[in-house]
This record gives sequence, C-alpha cells and structure tokens, in this order.
Amino acid sequence: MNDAVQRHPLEADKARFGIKEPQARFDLQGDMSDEERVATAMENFAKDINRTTATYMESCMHCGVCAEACHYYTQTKDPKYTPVWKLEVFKQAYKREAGPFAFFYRLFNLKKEVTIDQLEEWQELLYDSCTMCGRCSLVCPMGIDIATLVGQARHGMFKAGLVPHELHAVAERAEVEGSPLGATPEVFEERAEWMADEHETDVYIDKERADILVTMSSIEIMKYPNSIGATAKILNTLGESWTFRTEGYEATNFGMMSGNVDWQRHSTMKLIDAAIACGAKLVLLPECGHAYGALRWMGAAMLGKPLPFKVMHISEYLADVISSGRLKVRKVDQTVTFHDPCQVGRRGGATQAPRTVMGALGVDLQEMNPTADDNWCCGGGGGVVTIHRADELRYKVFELKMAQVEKTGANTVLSTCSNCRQSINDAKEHFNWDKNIESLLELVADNIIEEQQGR
Amino acid sequence: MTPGCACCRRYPLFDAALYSNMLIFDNNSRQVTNMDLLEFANGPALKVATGIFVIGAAWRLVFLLRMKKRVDLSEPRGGNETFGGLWMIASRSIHHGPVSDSIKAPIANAYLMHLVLAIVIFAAGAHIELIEKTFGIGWRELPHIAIRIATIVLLATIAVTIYRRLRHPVLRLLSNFDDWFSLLVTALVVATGLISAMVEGTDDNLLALHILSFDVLLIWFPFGKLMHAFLIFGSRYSTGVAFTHKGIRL
Repeated sequence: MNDAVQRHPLEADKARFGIKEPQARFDLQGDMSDEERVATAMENFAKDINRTTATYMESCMHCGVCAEACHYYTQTKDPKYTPVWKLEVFKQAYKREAGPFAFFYRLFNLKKEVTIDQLEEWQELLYDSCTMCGRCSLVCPMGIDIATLVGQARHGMFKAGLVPHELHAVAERAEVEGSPLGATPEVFEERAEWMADEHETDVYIDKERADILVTMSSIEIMKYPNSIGATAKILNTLGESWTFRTEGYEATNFGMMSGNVDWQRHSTMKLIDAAIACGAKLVLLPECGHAYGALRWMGAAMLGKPLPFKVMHISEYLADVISSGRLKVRKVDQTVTFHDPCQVGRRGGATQAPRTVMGALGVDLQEMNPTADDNWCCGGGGGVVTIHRADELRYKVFELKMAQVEKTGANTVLSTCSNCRQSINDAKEHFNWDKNIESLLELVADNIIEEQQGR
Repeated sequence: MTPGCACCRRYPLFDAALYSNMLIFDNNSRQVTNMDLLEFANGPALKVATGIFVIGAAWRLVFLLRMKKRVDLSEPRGGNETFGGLWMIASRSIHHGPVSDSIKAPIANAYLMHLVLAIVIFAAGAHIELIEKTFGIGWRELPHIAIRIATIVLLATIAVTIYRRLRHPVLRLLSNFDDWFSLLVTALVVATGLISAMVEGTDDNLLALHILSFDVLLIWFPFGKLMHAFLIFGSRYSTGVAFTHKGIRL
C-alpha cells in the first residue's frame, strides 16, 4: 500500500466519507523555508495572471457588497469572510510585484511584502471558508469573478505547501491511488458488479467501443453506489452504447479543488484518454458539481485544444432524453425542494436542466428562497467538507440552508451533486435534522416507464 | 462669458477669452486678485496634472491590454459572447443579484452619488464652458439652483459613504489609503467648487483651491480606485463574455 494511503486512513462509517480526523495536523507540506514558501506561492499565483484576472485585481472598489452574498459572512458577520478580503494577500503581492505600478509600490514600499504569517492566516480564508460557490461573483458591481481568483490563489497555496491537512491528503490519495476515497479500479469493479445485481441490469466496464463514456464520483462509488445502478438502468433502457473504463471512471478532481494544476490535469486526462480510447461521442458526468466544472469547462484547457467529444452533466442528459421523449417517467406524488449545486447551476449554466426533469416527474416542487442561480451553497463544496477543523463553521453556514428548506415545507431535498448530498447528510446527522436529501438521478431511475421507445 | 452664470461672471476664469488654447490660461485678459495661485492652479499645475492623468491612465490600461488573453477552448453553450459582455456592462449598473436588504440603502446612495456627480460635472455652466473650449462641443446648462442642490446632495452622499466606511466592519477592514484619499479629494473638489460658486465677494483663493484640488484629483486618478471609471468596462465585459460562454446568468 502506498505511503500516502497509509498516512491518510479513511473514515467509512460516518455520514461524511473522508479522511479520519488527524491526531496531529500538518497544514504545511514539504520542507521549504518560509521565504521559499512565500516566493513559491506568489510565483505560482502570478503564473495564472492574464488580462482578465489582472483587470479583476485592479478593479476592486472595496465596496463590500460581496460580503452580503457570502454565506460565511452572513452567518458569522465576521468581516474577514468578505469574499474579496480572501484575496487580499494576493492583491497585495500582485500590486507590488506584477501590476502596472509595481515599480512605485516597491520603490516606496507602498505595498509590503507578503509574509508567511499572512499566508498561513489566509489558508483558512482560501480553503476552510470558501466553497468557490460564486455567489459573490453574481453581485460584484465591477463584475469581478471572485471565485475564479480564489481558485487561482489556491494554485499558489498548493505549490507553497499551504493546504489544509485533509484536503491535501485526499488530493494526494487521488494522485497516487487514482481515487481520493479509495475507489480503486478493483473496488469500483466490485461495487459495479454489486450494483448490477442489485438493480438487475447490465453494467458495462471496459467495452472496447462505446458512444458514451460514463463516469462516477468517488463519493458515489463509495457512499452512494446506487448511482451506478441508476445510471446503468437508464442508459440500458434507452439502448445506449455505453461503458465505464477502468482507466478513467472517476470524475472527482481534488487536484483542482486543492489547487494542484498538475494533479488536476492528470485526473482530467484519465477521462479524456478513456473517452478517446473507446471512441466516445459523449462523456457523461455524474451527480457531482465540481466534476462538471473540471471537465466541461476546464477539460479543454487541460488538453490544450477543444475536447473531441461532448460533455454533459447527468441532469442535462436526463433533461435532454426526457424532453425529446426518449425517456418516459412515471409521475411521482411527492413534495420536494431542490438544492442547486453551485458548480452545475450558478457556475455551470445548467440551472434549468433538473427543473425540466422534476417537471416530467410531476413532483410538487417547492422552491427555496432564494433559489436556482441565487441559491445558498450547502457549505461543503470546494473541498471544505473534507476539512475537520472547518466543521464548526460549516455547520454554522448550514443553518442557512436548513432555514431555507424548512420554509418550503418539503421533507425531501433533491439534488444533483453527491458532495452536496454528503454535506447535507453530515449536517443532518449533526443537527439531528428530520429532512432527507435524495438523488434526482435515483428518483428518475426508480420511476422509469419500462416500455420505452429507445433510440 | 457664460450667459446667466453668476459665478462665472464673478470669476472670469471660465470665460472663453481666458483660454488661448486647450487649458492654457491667458494672463492678459482678466482682472483678478491672487493671480499667482490661480494662475498656477489653472496653468502649469493643470497641465502637469492632465499629463499625469492621461499618461498614467493610458499606461494602466495599456499594461492590462498587453497581458496575455485567456482563450476558453471549451465548447460554448451558444450565446453571443460579445453581446453578453456588453450586456453585463449595462446590467451590472442596475441593481442585481442576491443581496440582502441591508445593502440596498448603500447601493441606492451609490447610485445617487454617481447621478448627481454626472449632473454637477456635465450640467454646470462653468464646466460646460470648459468642455466646450477644450473639446469644441457644448450643451445647455442647468439652472444654478439645480446645480447647487445637486452639489449639496453629492456632498451628502459622499458624507454617507465616508460615515459608512468608518462604521461598517467590512468596509473598515477593506479600506486603505486609496479609499480614503479618493473620497476625500473628491469631496474637496466638490466642496470648494460649491463654496466658490456660492459665497459672494470672496477672492480667487477659493476658486484656486477648487482647481488645485481638481489637479490633485487628476494626478491621483490613474493610480487609485478612481480608475474604476475606466476599469469597470474591462472587468464587466470579461465576466460577461466568460459567463455567456458557459450559459451562466449575467
């Protein structure tokens, strides 16, 4: 067993499936000197600066409007959680080292050099208290996409070895083992076989040629494996030519969330190579928010050219086959509310797809307020759910979501992201909350009208 | 001389005859006291300030435009990205997004500030005269009383902004020299302009102070947050293009 896997044991019997709470935290990785860490952080942050991000760095007016859109600020009223403040040290470094007036800033020491103490302090702001949900990006009067800048700042933080222990651990596990949560090819195959039996359907693995490459998130494989069966059942009902590929089945991308671009690329390239190997025309992404952003919107950048296949989130696919009449579903007499995963909706542009699906199911949808693109984040995205020291803050933030759900009167929350589902389940256990969080995919699979037209 | 403009008659600075060419002051055609200070403010100081403003702002914008442009290779969702960029420039000027009620009053204050600022800059007779002599285009001025009310409202909105920045924990944390200096120099320009226009029988020191503070504002403009007047277009446009590419609501 790899050293990283041994060092970071998993905790499988909790609502949150992740790394066990470390007895001794190592939130600094590597053995760089303080000066090296600072220089590395800034250098790698600067690498990503382009016209757009530099314009963002120049444009902030310090109006503070973004604070009002952030669940961390609104729940704590602590000004340090103001989204743009989370970028302050990087703004400081940019102005001093890379901005149009850097010469003056250095000459007169108008912006001081960033220190290791600042970076360590900012670790909490960039990782524990930002899910990169992008709500702040919707309200900024200057149109600054703050969430993008946080992602960029994480690049610098990772290279400098300044990542929270558990998030670094899952990212490292993903890099060395192929899955952050132990969903190795062997484990995946076992669970896929189990689900094939459970759902009495065929699960295809490593077919030589297929039109659709199907992927899963590690959380689904390990915690919510019914997603495998549900997806297989739907695709088989439709008569699709599809397969999982053991060289690329895991859509989770902790390289992206932790800030390691190289690891992000490795994870993404596994999917791309698998799709190309089987001649897939479509890569179907699972109920996972960040996986959508990682391949749908960032995959081409990792490859260096446009992807030779289409990429769809499972909710988009379901909306597509239902709208076209290919998939017919029974009406479901149930009152539900829907939690929009930030990375699929607000950040991904697929906000309407799940509503199309729910419309076909005929559920009594009681929307939260605010909802859709304006929906509050569950608090577990961006890798936050993995970080134990962030739990208290995450639960505090989740109270916002609980209040939203309570107001709808629905007992069931549907969602299309397994990470949201896990975060909500974990908080449900913490608060002894009586609401249920369920998968829209599974609801569809459970209500397929068997006699389908197929293709 | 600007017709019907009491302060311009009192202070012939804005008389067309005072300008031999763009922003150059002609000494021989006026009779005012404290000539040296006014002459300095309106002459070499203004020229230098204008130069720094033009060169500094151009440098900051060109610096950004020369940076590498990120090309999004992902398959677009299908919207017109140029339109999306332009639309965001417009749409973010309107109240938008999921913000709580507590922020709505400050947002309204900011709207009002920019509105009356535009009125004071572009509808005051003296300013129109200056613009006409500089750029060759002019338009009708608003009555003095309207400009004075607008200027008082402008000062009030600036005062509210300063008060809020002093009191609100988020703004206190975010605020730096740039924020304070930009606000104060703007307030100084506005206040001296108002006083010099309203106080009868004052000498030209007030007018000189008004122009000098404007010179300072021009010098500071490219280096601080006042540049948002230009940067707002690039920032909003970039996000509008990126969001449209992904089909994200603008």
